[in-house]
Amino acid sequence: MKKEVKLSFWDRLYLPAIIVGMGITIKHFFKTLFTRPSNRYTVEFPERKKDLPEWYRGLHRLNTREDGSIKCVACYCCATACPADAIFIEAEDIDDLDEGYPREKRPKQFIIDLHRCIFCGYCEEACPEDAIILTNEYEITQLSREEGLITMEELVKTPKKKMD
Amino acid sequence: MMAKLLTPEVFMIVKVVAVFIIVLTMVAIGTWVERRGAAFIQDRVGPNRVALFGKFRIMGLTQPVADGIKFFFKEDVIPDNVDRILFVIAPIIAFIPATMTFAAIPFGRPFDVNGVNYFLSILPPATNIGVLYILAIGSMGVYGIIIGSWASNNKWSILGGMRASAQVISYELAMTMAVVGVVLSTGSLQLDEVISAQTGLWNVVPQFLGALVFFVAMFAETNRLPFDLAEGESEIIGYHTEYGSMKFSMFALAEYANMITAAALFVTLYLGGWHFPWLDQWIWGSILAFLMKLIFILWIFVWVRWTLPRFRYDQLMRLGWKVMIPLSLVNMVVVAIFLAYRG
Amino acid sequence: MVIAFYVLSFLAIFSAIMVVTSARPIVSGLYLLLCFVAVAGLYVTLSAPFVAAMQLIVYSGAIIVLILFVIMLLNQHTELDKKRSKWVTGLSTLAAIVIGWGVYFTFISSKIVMAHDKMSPIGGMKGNVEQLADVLFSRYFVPFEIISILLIAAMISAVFISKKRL
Repeated sequence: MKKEVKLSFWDRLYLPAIIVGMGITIKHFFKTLFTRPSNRYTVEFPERKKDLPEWYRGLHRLNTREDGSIKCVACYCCATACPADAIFIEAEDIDDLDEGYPREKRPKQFIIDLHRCIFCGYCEEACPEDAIILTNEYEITQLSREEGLITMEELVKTPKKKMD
Repeated sequence: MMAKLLTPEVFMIVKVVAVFIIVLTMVAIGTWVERRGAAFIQDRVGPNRVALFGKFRIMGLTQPVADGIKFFFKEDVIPDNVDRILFVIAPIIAFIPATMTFAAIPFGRPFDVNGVNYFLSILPPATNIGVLYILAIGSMGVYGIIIGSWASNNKWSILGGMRASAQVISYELAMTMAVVGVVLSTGSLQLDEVISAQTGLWNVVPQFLGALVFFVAMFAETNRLPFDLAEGESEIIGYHTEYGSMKFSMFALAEYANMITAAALFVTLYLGGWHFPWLDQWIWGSILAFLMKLIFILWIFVWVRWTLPRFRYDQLMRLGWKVMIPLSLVNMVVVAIFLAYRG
Repeated sequence: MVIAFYVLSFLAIFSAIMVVTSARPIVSGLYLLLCFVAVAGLYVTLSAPFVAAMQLIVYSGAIIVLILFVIMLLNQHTELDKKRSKWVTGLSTLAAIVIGWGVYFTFISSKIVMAHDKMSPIGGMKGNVEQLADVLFSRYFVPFEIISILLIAAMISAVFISKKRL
């Protein structure tokens, strides 16, 4: 299909339009040139971190109570909700029942396979105890597949969101 | 001490070495300016990471060095089924004319020391044919592209080479015709006389049409973006598809060297060469004026590249034959009539 | 100058022979280019830089590009192995010898060779363009214009033949 576009003589000179276009590009050039690097669109990563919104879903964290014990009660809700089958939990019984806050189980092992995880946040939704949350931490790279299996001890150490 | 050392032979060697180093340095910095300029025009940052000794970033100015090192140490692949001899000599053929053409361009005010005249161009201005030398050598540059594309034994390469050859022939006519206007008004082919004829009024004012045609043809001759159909790096594949490592970088160097020579020729023919109000009374000032104009034209090359999209091939040919050549003829006839009327 | 002359002459003759003998058309075209460049170099040694530049611009810069363009368009990698009849070979050899002898004879009896003692390698450089223009536009004005008309006629007829519908 051939569309015929009628151009006026002024348009067919091309030059005025080219000069206008060059004006636009040079405006952008000087705008970027005189913007401080911190205000540019490009965030230069290792030196400068991007401010992420609260709802960003990054590395997981297992929350703890005031006494330092893990909030997780090993109910398997998150593992069931996980569409990627990334969470592995092995539960163990707790013998000394706390009267103030009764619970029967706690995880013996809690492993998240980051290679499987799709960071959908369903585990956070499913958790009845607010034990697992997704933080703003996004620098999660490993050098081997074994390091990608995040254990309970490491998950506790994940820094909290800035909002908290 | 300096005056004793200054003989024409020493001066010649100094000139050749200085020009060669400065042109190649400008090529290197040109790639940096192109990438940073492109980035800034597109609201990006561009290459700024390569650091000298791992510490001093100096705005990424060491990026060309890193690129050069990379090109040197990359594996030099010669594919099977290519014409080996032609494949190897093609980048050299592209590179040599690109560096040769700058020799005729006067880049500063000539001066006298102890009764000996020193001129600031590599070829002596009195005995060369100036403009014609540049056009003649410059027209050899396309053979690098044609031979390279043929030797690659690759359909896309050959198509790129064919686009390049047709484009270069078409725009060379317009370019030469535009130069004829300048030669007519000067009455000489020598570039130093072209420059001295522009004292007071640069050629770009009386011969605006010729300057425009030359400027557009310059982009086509150097295969720069509105007309980069030979290379077409973003969509269509060009003549150096099969090339890698140092051979590829020879093509890239030739492109930038051609840009510098074309810009220098434009400055000489239309922007008064080393003339600049107040500044050209000193030798260094005249060289500085020439360099400033040269860098400005080179910046326009970059600027235009990141402003305009590529022409379609039939549009390119139509522009070349139906617009540029008639315009250059009009310019030539107007100049000729003006000269004849003035007597 | 003498060494340059011999080197360039050797290059020109060698590449001219290679144009005829090489099997691939594109290589023939490139040898033709080399031949023209060598001839341009010869013009420089004969103190005619203007003619040399014209040789480079017109022949090397435009005509060879066109020839290579056509060869690439046809995409013919090797020459077809045709059986030529001996008559054609013999006749063309004879014609070549006759034409070559004619050129040689005309050259040897021309005024240029008679005056070659007076010529110097660099002397003729100044006013080269002016002299050429003077001769071309006054003494040989009519033949010059006739050649131009001939070229235009050839071009128009080529367009006429190639275009099916005008």
